[in-house]
Amino acid sequence: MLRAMPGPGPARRPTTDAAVVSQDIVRLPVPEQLLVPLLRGRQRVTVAAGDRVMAGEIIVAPVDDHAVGALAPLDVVVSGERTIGTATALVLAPLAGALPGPVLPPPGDDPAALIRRVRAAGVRGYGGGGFPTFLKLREGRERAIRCLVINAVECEPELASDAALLADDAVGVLAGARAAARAAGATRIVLATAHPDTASATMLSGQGVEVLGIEAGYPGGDERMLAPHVTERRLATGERPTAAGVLVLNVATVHAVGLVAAGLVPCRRFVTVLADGATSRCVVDVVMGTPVSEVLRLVGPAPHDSMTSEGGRMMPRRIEDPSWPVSPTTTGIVVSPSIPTAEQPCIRCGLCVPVCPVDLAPDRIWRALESAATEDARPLGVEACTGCRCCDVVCPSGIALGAAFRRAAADLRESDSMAAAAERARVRFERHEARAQARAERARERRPRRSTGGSRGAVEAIVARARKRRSRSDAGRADLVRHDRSGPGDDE
Amino acid sequence: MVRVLLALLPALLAQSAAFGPWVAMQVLAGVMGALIAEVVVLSLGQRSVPVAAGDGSAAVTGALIGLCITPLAPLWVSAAGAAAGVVIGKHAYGGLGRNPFNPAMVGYALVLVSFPAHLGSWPAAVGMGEIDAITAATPLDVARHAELARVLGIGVVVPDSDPWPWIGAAYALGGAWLIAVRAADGWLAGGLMLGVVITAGVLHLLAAGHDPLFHLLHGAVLCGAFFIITDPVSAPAGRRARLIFAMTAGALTVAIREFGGYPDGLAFAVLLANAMGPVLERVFGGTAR
Amino acid sequence: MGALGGAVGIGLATLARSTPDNSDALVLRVDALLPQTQCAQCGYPGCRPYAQAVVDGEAGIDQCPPGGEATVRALSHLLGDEATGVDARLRVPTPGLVAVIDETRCIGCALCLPACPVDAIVGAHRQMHTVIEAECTGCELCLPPCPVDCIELRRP
Repeated sequence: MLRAMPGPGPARRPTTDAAVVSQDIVRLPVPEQLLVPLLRGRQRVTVAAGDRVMAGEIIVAPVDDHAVGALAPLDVVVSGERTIGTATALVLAPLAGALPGPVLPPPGDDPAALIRRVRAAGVRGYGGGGFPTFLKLREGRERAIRCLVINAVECEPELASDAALLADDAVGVLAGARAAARAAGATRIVLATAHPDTASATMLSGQGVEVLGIEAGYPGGDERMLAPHVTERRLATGERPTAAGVLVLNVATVHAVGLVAAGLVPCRRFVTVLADGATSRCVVDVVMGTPVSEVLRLVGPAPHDSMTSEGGRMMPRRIEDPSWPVSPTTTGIVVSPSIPTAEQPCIRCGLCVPVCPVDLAPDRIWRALESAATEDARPLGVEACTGCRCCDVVCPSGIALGAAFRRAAADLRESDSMAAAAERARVRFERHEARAQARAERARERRPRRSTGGSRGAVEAIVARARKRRSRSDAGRADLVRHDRSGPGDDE
Repeated sequence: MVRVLLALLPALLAQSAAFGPWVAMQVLAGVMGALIAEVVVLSLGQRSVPVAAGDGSAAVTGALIGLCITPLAPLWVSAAGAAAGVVIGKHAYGGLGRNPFNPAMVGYALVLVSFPAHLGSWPAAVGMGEIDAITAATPLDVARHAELARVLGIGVVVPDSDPWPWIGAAYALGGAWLIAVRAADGWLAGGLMLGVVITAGVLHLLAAGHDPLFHLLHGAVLCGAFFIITDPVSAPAGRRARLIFAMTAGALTVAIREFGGYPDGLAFAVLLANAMGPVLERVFGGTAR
Repeated sequence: MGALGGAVGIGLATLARSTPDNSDALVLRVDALLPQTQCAQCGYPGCRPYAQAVVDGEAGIDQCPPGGEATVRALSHLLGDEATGVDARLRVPTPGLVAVIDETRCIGCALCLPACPVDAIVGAHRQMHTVIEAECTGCELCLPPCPVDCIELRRP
């Protein structure tokens, strides 16, 4: 067992107890409707309303290089598309009695084939980030990583989804880890967990997986915080773990890769439901695509004036419409009272500085953003902000720093891409102008010959041009076509 | 902010014990003046008055000014100083979080230069016998005048009991608690004291000044270290910048005391250091801690 | 005191006047703030000539409609000019639109090719023309030359 290093930041909160993991998991049945969220412009639906689709068939195809697709998780009938808020989702009606099972021939040992299938199945980060897993595996291979880290730290307080998976199907996790390691080219597999003494961890340790015990604390589960434990090399601001030879995947993602490698379509995940008041916490095993409202039926009606979020209490993502489906990024569902926040001005107390896990100075970044100088926030590292909101928690003025920093990072990315496009346009314009100048030069050179020769010179010039044209047409059709292809005024 | 007021209680008690109950009246006058000014200015703006005034920063300003002003002065001096500090030292720069100068020191400095006579003398410490009250110079004043007297060959009365080290200790007690609960930055407090001790030490070695311990324990150094220089708004960001900032204030305090025209230079030293704050932050602040 | 102040003032003014004018660098900095649409709506044949005119004092900083308020603010910040918004007489185009050629109507006349300041139209005489979406700046200069009005502006 590797030695654990203390976690970062004083925003420590206890994560789940190992004892809690053995509680009963509620298994939800297949719902009447499954919703598959679509990324407009980046994904393309390949089926039509009314189509009968068998499990494993392609229902969504990626359009750009970074998008993923989707496969039918069960035998379904396509109902159509539906708008939820500002997003669109494909609606599927599972056929009665449909059960998931191996539906496709396994992709085999070829890493490229597995990566392609992982992409087609729509596997994304199950830890909440939702980043396309095929891109991570491919990057791992390209950067010749040596170590695959199974991230089961689950530092979000009160979440027990990953712990439930490890307890429920450690064998599946092992199979997935081996497949992912093969695909990414890793020779070493490490399980990072806050509970290294559970039966699952012991079993994995016996199968050649190194178990790394991480001290409980938020945000210790962030992949950038895990990589140094394995490589003993700190990542520079903005560097990804693959730069240090490490690929970190959430344990549920690893499990999903294992399913894909076995010819299955990943269709279920564990979700921790946290509701203030009601049954304090329960872990459900639910089919992805089930509307959140169906899951919440378990915990009773939401109190008036509460809000529902996906994720955990530290990094919640608000769900505006409860018919939004459970997806790979739904690690938890939190129902909490919506408290209006009264933000006071920043008093520059500096308490936010020591808690930042990526060594930023939130007070100075906030001051730059307050004076609408977003560009000044760039050298302060706002783009490296992980959005963990540790600074939010300690701020005595109650400022929503995390949200503001993510917005600022998005604004900077947008202004960067606009600046790059403008630069490209400028270069093309300069070349265009240079050609126009050259053309004008040549035209000016030609004109004096005409005027100095007088009318006789003009007639000679016309005759010479006519002769040239005739000889050109005699040279054959091919020449004509070649000349025709050049645009007007193009003498190059 | 409420914690700061709580932490001032030991000092309030110590000063009241030394100089009588009028100390509490000055503090009350200061707090009232500050709160009235705060509410008036906030109601001219757009933010909700109860929310904004509830942050307690004006009350702290008022209390500090009340404690810094001699109990012998009329109450309106504290009130006026506190109001001036809140209005000119805080709101004129944009309100909470925006002021480059310490509001309490702005108020105190304004009052000091406007009404020097009223701030001239502190009462002699209780415990000098049957006499009800004697106005006498503070030990700092005595130290200055003792030097002058020695030169001129005149004898000077020096009071026996010197309450200031005890008052300083009371400030330090409250301040240490504030640092422990992370309501005050220890680097600022330590920096000021370090600056005072080093500068006084050097000067003392050159036989040009009093010993460092004297400087540390008398006057407003301990109050300044834990309650004045620790105002996060007017201090630069970054540990290194803060240390240099506080040490500069400490050094200037001693310099003004030894070579300047005022017996206690803390207020002006802090204001001068505040003025240097943005430059210190830019040069020494770095991009992170 | 007065004499000292006056002497320093005269000295500084002389120094300011005698240092070489680094206006070329300033033109580059102004150009970097412009959107590079090259649409000539400012009255200059491109963003660089406009930048030069701004530095020379011939043009105001509020003449760039595609840059919008953000560009005016950025130029104001750089040059200390007081303008706050784009000149009201100029029409601010909808941002983010690109030109699209309707291929069923295009006759291959190639008149739009030289009109594009950034060479974003690909085509040749009597061959199909098309706009490279990624390079189109939305300057709208290709719309007037087209004899069959087959170019329109759309969201990419």
